[in-house]
Amino acid sequence: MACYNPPGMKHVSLAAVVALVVAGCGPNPPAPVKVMAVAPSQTGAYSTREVLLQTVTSITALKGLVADLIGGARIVIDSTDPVQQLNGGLTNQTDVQRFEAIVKDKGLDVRGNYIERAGVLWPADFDTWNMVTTYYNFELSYAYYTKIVGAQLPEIQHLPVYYQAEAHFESTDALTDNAAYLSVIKSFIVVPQRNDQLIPLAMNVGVIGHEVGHRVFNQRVFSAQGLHPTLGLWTLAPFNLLKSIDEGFADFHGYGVTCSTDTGCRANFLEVSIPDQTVTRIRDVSSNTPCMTESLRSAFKNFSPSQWIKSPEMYQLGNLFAVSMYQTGAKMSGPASVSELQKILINTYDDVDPTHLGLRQLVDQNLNTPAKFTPEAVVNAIASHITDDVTRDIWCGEAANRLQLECEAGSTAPFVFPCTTLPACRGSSRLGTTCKAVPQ
Amino acid sequence: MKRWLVAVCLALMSVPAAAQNNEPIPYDDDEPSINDKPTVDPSTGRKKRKRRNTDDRLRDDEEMAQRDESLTHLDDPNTGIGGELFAGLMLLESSRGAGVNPLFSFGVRATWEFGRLIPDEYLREMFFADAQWQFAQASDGTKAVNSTSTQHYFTVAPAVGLPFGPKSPIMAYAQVGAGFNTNFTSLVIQNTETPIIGSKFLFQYGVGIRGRPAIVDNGTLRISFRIELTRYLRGYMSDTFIGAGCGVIF
Repeated sequence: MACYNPPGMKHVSLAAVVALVVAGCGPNPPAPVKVMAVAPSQTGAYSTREVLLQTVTSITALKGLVADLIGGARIVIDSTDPVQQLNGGLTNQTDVQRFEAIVKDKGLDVRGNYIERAGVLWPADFDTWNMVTTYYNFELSYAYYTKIVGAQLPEIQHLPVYYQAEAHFESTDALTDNAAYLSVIKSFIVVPQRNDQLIPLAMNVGVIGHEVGHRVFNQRVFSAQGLHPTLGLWTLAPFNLLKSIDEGFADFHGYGVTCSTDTGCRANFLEVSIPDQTVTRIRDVSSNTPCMTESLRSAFKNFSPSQWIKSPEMYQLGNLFAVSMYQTGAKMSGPASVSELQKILINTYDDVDPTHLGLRQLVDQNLNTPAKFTPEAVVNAIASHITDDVTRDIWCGEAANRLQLECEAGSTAPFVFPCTTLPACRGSSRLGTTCKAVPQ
Repeated sequence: MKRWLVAVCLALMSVPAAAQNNEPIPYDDDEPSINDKPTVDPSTGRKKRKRRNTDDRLRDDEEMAQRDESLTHLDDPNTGIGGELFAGLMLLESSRGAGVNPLFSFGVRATWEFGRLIPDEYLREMFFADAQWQFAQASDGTKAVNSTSTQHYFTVAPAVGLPFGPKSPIMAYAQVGAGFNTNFTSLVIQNTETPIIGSKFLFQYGVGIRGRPAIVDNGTLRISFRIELTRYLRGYMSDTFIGAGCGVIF
């Protein structure tokens, strides 16, 4: 049943109240809506806080410009499912076919439960706290990405968010403790949390910023394709690199989104949600210690796609890119420069200018020559988008150091600029000294 | 409205009050006596005496019926007031948008069989009303962020029932009522608690089976039991309760 409140309605007649009760409609004040959410405070601790949802069109259904929450969906990825085997598998299906094959139960609108106090809506149960905070985090993420791009971004508007979805990925066990962007259905999922999780992932603004980062990466680098051809054609190092930069860049942007909270920037935003520090430490974008190691390089070159996406090494390699960007910004003049690098990174995703092609172009040009998609090529693409010479020098030195890049094909340390594999890096670049040289 | 209710109540109560007078009801003076001699109807030639006897019998039946009604009321040993404890499964509407959150729920209710104000033998068994409180509690979250929400349902709900047969102590009933729901939510974030309290209009409707068999010979004490399916419209949220209860009624 449709529920409608005239915009700006201030006085509600008894008949209208009765009609709303009979129709089962919830509150639906026009945006901005004052509502309580869970957000980090100045001390870094999470607490309840009054926020203004600027874009919400239905506070009950949690729908608006930035996200549309959907409850009760069932999402199954199962290679033995006959529907998912049609046309030779999901890779050969259209987006619509894939969606129909994977989203087994489309779910329903969520129904936030509120108590009103002095014009402010207070969530009346855990799920409503979680959903309101999730929507708020999507608003903060939207604000971040539009700011660094400098324009409205239709590609991250009305994002479908399957809240507390029952998700099965090649398993009879339902997924728990996760939030993810599934490009294959162009939707986000938030799955049920277990009790040992700390701040629920969807309440963690960095996590939502990270997931929206995947959406932006998919839209810009993968041309908004649900399943990009590289995922089927590429394997080993090129495939692994692609997955790793997707994760690393998403972490770097997730960190950027946290800067809009009262706490300020939180480089290791996962540590408030995941108790296992061995997992969170390798995702900290501000750490000065991550370096390429022999074991990481071996995994990078030899792991199959299925091995890689389940391994911590995928995040470790991505973290080397994120840390290189963070440290480059930090060496300039702190967070403001980190913010500049976030803009540069977004600009690198898709750029048709032949003097500094974007990652999308790099991927598309090498669809059939994946060996040319290397860490050096990615670092060089980013370097080519840095207009400030000093910043570019630092970036080249940081990335070459942490990723142990090759200056020439097959070359060994010591690394000396300029070199043919990084043509965008000037001769004045200096190799960073943080990491120990690892033989190629 | 109040005046109307009082008038209805007084009207209902005046009938049994009048019936308490034990004096015989006098016959109208102009009515023929049972001992009148029969006369012949000139149009039919039949004796009118027979017709009069039929009329008299009908009148006697009505009179007897009136007296029976009066006696039914006078002989009723019950006040029609009692109480019940009940429990069952509350299917709380989930704010997640699909499905329900199944919870154990319990409550207590006072019942008034206000139908006993009606002298009619059949109707007086049909009506009752409950004033009740019901409770359910839900918890969810993680170690760091979790909440406990308790729902308190306060309603007054009249009901109408259909006994399974004459003199049957068991009936099927339907009920509609209203009241308010008070929600106490405690949100704990990293060991800091935020309490939230609020109330909403509550609408209730449902069906069930209710019994009230006597447990003492004179019927002054009865047990009451029921099985019920009740829906609560808690603002714009809908909860369903499936439960059973028992108690006593005097």
